[in-house]
Amino acid sequence: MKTLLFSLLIMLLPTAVAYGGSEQDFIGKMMSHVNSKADTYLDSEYEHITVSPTMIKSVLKMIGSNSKLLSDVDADKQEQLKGLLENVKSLRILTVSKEADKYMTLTQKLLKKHKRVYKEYAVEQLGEDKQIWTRQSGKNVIEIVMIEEAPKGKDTLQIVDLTGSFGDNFFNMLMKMR
Amino acid sequence: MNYKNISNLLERYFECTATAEEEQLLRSYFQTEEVAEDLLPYKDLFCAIQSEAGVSLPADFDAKLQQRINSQKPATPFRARIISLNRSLSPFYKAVASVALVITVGVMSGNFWSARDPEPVEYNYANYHDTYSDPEIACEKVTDVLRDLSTALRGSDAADTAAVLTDAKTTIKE
Repeated sequence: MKTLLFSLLIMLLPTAVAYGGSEQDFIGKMMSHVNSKADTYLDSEYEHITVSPTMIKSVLKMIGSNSKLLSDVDADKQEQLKGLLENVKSLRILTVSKEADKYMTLTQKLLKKHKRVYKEYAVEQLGEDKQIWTRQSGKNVIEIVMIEEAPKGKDTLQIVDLTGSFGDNFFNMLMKMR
Repeated sequence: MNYKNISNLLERYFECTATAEEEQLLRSYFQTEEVAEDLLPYKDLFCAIQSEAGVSLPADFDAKLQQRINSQKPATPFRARIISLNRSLSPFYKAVASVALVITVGVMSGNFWSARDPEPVEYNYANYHDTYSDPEIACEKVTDVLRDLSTALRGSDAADTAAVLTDAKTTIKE
């Protein structure tokens, strides 16, 4: 009896380990893989852009200070942008200019590996060259990954990765954005 | 029996070369009260041997022993038992059942924990290195991305609207 109870305790302990801690966004996961195989994924093939939470705050500050100088129309647009940015924590963009197939294969491999985390959104309506994947935590979406393949004949790929807190309000504002 | 003779006999006794008659002579000597002073230490030895020789079993010992033997319950006769295959595999079945129970509980607990709302995800923003130092450029990039995302989502929304309209027209025609 003691042995059985001890075995049960040992078995349940790993499942009770709290989630959280340092987590990478999707492009972070990709870049970890790319950087570990530098001879396969060359620096000249891609461009990686990061806008951190600190910069987002700076942008919001800038928008706040500039809004007084703008016309009503522009002020509305700035207000809309501000409303959207308040939900955004970071932005990462990975633009591949060569050997896009290789990076697309890696993308699909990572999406498959993390299929319990990233769910595909609006598959059919987006078209063949676009995919949107989201990551949820509770009721909110916390990460949006948009994958855009180039039209046939062009060897490019762009992946955009937004993190933040994206509820219904955010998507409503986003849909109104022009 | 003089002192010299006794000494010689004692010497032979301790060398284990004394005969039975010589040992008897020694015992007879030490049982007398006229034992030489330097031979007194040996008196207790020969007297103890003599007293031990007098110990014997009581007369009713055999009768008591037999009675004790007869009062014991007869031993059950040993019979060989045939152990069936199921019985011999019983420990194995128990082990399999235990492992199955542990696995089942483990899977159920895993599903339970994964089905719950996960803990808040903490991204490692400390490792983010800004590409742009100018907020204006960063703002442009972010705005472009949000616009593209909006277009993509509105594209799907427009497709949904078109599908609803097509269905409505079909229904009216019917």
